[in-house]
Amino acid sequence: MRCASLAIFVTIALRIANPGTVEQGNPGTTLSFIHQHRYAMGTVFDVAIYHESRAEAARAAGAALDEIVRLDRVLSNFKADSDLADLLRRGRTDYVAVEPSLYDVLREAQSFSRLSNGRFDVTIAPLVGVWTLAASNGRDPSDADIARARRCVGYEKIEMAAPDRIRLASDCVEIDLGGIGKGYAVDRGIEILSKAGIRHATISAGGSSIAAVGTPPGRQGWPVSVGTEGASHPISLTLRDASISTSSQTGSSDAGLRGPIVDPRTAAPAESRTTIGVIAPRATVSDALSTTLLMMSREESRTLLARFDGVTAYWISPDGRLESSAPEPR
Amino acid sequence: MMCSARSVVSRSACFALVLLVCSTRLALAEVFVRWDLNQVPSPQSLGISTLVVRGANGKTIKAALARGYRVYVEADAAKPGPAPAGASMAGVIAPKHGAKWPHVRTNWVTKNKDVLQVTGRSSQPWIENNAALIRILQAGAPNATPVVTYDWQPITLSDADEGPSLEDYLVAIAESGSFGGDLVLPLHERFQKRLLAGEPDARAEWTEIKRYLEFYSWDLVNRYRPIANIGVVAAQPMVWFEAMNLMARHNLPFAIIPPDKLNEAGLENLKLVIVLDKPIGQALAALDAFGRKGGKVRTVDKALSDPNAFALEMRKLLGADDRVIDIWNGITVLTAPYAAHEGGTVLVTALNYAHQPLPVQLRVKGTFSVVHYESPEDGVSLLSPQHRNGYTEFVLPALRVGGRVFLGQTGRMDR
Repeated sequence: MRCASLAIFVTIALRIANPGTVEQGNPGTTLSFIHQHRYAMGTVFDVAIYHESRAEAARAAGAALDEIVRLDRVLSNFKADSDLADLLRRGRTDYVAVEPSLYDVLREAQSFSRLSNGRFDVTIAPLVGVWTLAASNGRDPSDADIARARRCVGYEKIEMAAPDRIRLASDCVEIDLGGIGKGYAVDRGIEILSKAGIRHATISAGGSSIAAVGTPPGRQGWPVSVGTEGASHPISLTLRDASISTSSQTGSSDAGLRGPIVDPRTAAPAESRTTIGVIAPRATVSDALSTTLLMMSREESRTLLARFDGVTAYWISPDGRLESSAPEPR
Repeated sequence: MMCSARSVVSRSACFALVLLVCSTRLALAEVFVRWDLNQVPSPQSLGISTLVVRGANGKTIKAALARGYRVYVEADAAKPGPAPAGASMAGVIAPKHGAKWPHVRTNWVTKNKDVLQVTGRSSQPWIENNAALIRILQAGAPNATPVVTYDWQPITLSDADEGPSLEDYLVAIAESGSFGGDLVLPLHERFQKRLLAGEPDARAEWTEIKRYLEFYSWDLVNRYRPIANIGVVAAQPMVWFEAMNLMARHNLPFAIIPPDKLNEAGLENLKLVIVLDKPIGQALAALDAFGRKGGKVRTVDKALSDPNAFALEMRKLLGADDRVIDIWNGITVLTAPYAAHEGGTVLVTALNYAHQPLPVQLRVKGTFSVVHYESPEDGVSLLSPQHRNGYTEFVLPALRVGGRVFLGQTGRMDR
């Protein structure tokens, strides 16, 4: 375990998924830089690429962002015509075939739910709704309200049959992919860039999940600053062939003063004031874990983290102290 | 502010003329294209007849006049230069400062082609927009249409090389046309060169820009008046700019009331009055009377530390039943509601700053049987309204950048 004050500028070079030598590019080769951004999933996705061909980079960035926008139409629980909305309409009586990406992300979500003993749960929305409504009226929800909502929550209510069929074993279960969807979209974007031959790129989902391929020319990694409210100095990381996701219960009053992340175990908003950063080989993993760890003690967190390869978690307290799950450097 | 003038022979004469005739200028709300290069394409090739040229660009002014354009000279206090003697120009434009090229801000920090990303909880996209500024300028000079302009500030590093994208131009034009301000639209130097060279891609982009210029060349200001049921009492509105900026961001239309103009009649149609600068005397009595009749009053005693939280608080205080307009699935969309000076037609302009097709659900106060939608991309269509609790609800099928909705009654729609 490592603790450090944020007053000290911490730089951590990450070599998780691909700990090879840093690519510097061919001497004399100038890489063009492309930066595109687009709105999806309620935030702005950014793509940055260094590449030999500007036109190829622009096409790849456009294709990655197109896929992210498409995934928004598939996974959105706000859009009435999304594939997810269709599942919620038609999937309560029998198994229905769903769009492959929706099946894929729900399969991943189920996996995280099982590994975390239900702390990560994409069916938590009814409980969030109860707390949001109560907060808007300046009170806590009643026990009866919570009990009613709880009846609709539980990841096991989503029944899946490979390769693409899903049934919802509840008349009131809802699905909100907010804790995993952006990370999944980032991974899909990175996949498209890689297939297009891009070797130096990064994709960011509004800052909450960021993934990097390779490094910028002449650098050890992509610089990332972990933002925390109230911290006078941010934590600086360099990201290479890995992703980082950040979650916190503070910084939003959308679901009342206590924050928008509700713990399925207690049926109440997580009490944490800590900002969690998780670095993982894939953004789907870092996104889901950063949300989950917010509801867990350090001990529970370390038990869960031990089930994943190449994952490091950071806990940043409101007073700016940093704790890492990575072993002390010798 | 823009003023007509027949002949301008010197900078000082020009400004004197501005002062003399500006009060007579008819408000229109237009977008004027600014050209900077010495070489000017023909009006036929651009398909427009008016250009704005900076006052210091004497050669460009001459070239534009020689081409047959109506030329407005943009007054540039920072780099004054003599206007060509004897030249016949349409007038002088003096845009207001403080406007920004509208866009959705990314959370990236980019410097010297280096990228620093900031990770944190994703939050609602920040939209740089000029809606509040235009309302403030309108309040300061009710008989004149405010004119704004802005320099290009790259949103991404790629933009720094390329200049504004087509969509950046379209958003700028749509914003001006949506909120009722005049805009001097600067064309990036690289784009001007591409147009002069007749590059097919540049021509195609210009065709799209021209379509937007034509769509928004309408008499918004003279035919419609903004609807607002929130009054903001402020002697110096720019001091409270961020509060109004965030209210506009959350689609809370407001009217600015100078404290010395506050009276009972002026408060009749309001539901909420936000007092930023306290009135005195009769005005204070009018405010008390408003409160006694059930109007909501929120007095702000000190500088706002969190204007966003304040705007959300005002939205909540106004209440769901008293909002003029509500939006779902449109987090990057700003709207502006208007009422026709004659007849009962309500107009709502909608602008998607993310410039990508978005189905947007709107709820507008009032029961309207006809909902007529038009956009530069999709032309004209009739939407199917639903009526609930005194509101009319409908969905804009794919708002790419800008569009406008006319709401009225069967047989009595006035566009």
